[in-house]
Amino acid sequence: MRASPRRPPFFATVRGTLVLLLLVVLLPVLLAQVGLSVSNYFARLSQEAQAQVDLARAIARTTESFVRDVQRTELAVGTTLTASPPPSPAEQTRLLTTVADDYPAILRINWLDPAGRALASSDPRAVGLDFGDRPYAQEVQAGQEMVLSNLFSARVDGQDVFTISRGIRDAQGNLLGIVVAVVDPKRLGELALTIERTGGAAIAIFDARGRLVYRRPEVPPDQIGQDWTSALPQLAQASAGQEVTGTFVSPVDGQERVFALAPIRVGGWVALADRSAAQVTAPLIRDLLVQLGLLLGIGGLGLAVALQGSRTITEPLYRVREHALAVGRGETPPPVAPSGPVELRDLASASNRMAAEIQAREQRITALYESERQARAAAEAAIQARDQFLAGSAHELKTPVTNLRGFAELALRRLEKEGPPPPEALRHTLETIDRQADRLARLVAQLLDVAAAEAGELEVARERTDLAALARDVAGRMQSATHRQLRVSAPQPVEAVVDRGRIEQALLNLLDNAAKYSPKDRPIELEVLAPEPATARIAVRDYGPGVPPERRELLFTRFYQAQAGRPFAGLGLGLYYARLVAELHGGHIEAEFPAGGGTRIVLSLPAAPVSASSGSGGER
Amino acid sequence: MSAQQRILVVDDDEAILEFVKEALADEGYTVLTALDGAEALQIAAQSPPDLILLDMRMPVTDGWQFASAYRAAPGPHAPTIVMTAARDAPAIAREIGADGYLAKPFSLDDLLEVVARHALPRPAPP
Repeated sequence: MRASPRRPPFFATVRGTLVLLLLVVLLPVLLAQVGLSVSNYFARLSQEAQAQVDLARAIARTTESFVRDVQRTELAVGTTLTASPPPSPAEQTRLLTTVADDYPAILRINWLDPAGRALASSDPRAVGLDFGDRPYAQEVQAGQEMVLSNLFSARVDGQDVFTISRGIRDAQGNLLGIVVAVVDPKRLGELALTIERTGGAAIAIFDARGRLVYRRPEVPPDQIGQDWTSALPQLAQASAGQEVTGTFVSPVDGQERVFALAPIRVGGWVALADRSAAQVTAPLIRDLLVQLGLLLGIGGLGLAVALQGSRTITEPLYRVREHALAVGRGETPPPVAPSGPVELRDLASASNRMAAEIQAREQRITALYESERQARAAAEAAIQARDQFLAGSAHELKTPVTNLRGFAELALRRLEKEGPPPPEALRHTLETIDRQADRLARLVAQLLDVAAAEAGELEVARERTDLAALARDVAGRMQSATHRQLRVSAPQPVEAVVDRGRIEQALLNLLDNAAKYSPKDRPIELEVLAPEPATARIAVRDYGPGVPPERRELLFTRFYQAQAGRPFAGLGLGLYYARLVAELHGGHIEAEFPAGGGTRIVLSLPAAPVSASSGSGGER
Repeated sequence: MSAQQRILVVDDDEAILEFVKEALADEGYTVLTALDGAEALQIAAQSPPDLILLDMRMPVTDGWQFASAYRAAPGPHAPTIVMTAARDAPAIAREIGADGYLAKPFSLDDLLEVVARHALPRPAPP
């Protein structure tokens, strides 16, 4: 293929169009796929958030149940402790220890008097300590039936703990004492929380101040009690009773996580369920990437196929293009081999057919032009011949006209100067004028015959004639006019059916010519014979200089003069007319140049056998 | 009119020769005639003319041949007048160095005028 001088825009080419089509098809699919994936992504996120909400609720409910269970137990313990008679201190300790042992998360259970002093405990270290300054004790004293405390540092051993307290009152509402269960948050998971199916999620519980009470997976002990309100400000909302979902950056690992907060309906606590956002989105992104890769793969494959396919279109197109250009340059290129898709094969065939038709048309035009050129040349030649004929005719006529005019003017002049001439002189003058007039008339007649013959319109009047007698008659007239020595040899009648006047004129021409082109003292020979029954022959021979060989060919053409070589001046109508007459009668004329010198013109005519009936009439 | 001026007339048409001869003889010229160039050269050599009237197209020796042979011959040369039926009489006259021309068919007056104008005057006999 030949590079175009100017590269067209890519999308204007076949290849570009195919690629464009491909893009038009693939791009919406790609966009739709991306849209679907994005919507999937958000649906999955929302689904995940819902899962976290469910999880957080479950944690909240479980925590609530745990707290209520402990409180119910505390109520039972308190009731027992305030029964009458009251149990002994040893019995109190045993009861408290038994109950504490039932709950793995409960470090100890204290029995406080209404002022907050520990009367008994499952832990002997607590007995006698005053907890009246603790907020949970004060809240119970203030009238609250039960209190879930925030996390705080235990007075007994400095551990981070929280308490579930229950005031024990008599029928009148007087506070009799407070049962306080001290819970180790670290052990909440083992004991109270039955949530196992967290699906990779993290769960956590916060107290009312937003401090981390419990988390699974576990965090280092020093992180328990950490304040998360800055990392997760929504804790306050949840603490106020609202469920909240969203994403946040976990203080545990610094990763973005999807979370749900559910309020625990005791003590303003909050349950948290969260999951790594990356973990949620990773499969989505993986799916997306796989789909994208698949699409790109299909697109690339399509592109490759389109480019290859475009070649099967463009290659035949280029060939047709080169072919058309070559035809346009007037070359004759070999036909294009049809290839590629059917339409392109049709195109190649059409191009071939067009080239063939153009060539055929060119040939026709060339032939037409050639025949036109020939016709024009022939017409021009005819016009030239006609001009020449006219010029020649005028020339021929000028001499007798000069004579006519001259003799007439001379006679007039003499009449004026000398009076009437003597009869002899007048007769001579009139005879001379008559001869010239006759000559003129004969010339005109011959010219008209030539013109008519050339137009194919010459009619001859034939009659049976004895050519020998005709020749003797013409010779006699000639003799008296020119005084030349004329030898006539016509021993036998030679009969032919001819136009008598025209044969006479032809013979006169031959004799005139002979007289003119030969010395006066040399004889002219006239011969009439029939060498065979069907042929009559009239021969005129002179003893002049003859005709140079290079001029013989033109001897019988119109107005030809044997000794030309000068600017044309016409004579020679005589021989041409003789030839015309011969041919008009179905005969022919020839020039011979005998060894003895001079020229011999032989006029051959078809003879009529003597026995044949005499004919006449205007045959052509 | 100068008597005894000799005019040589050359033409292959005898009728023209007769007419010109009679016309000029009536005017007192001496007229010599020739039927072709060869004859004319002979006459011109024997009795030099005072003017030559020359037809161009003639058998044997034509006007062109005569003109070049006459110019080549020694002795004084008479003026030459071309008599022709050709269309380009002036051109032919120039070509052969003639002094004038008579285009056929010419009138008697033309003939006499041209001859009177060009014929050399003959010195009076002593």
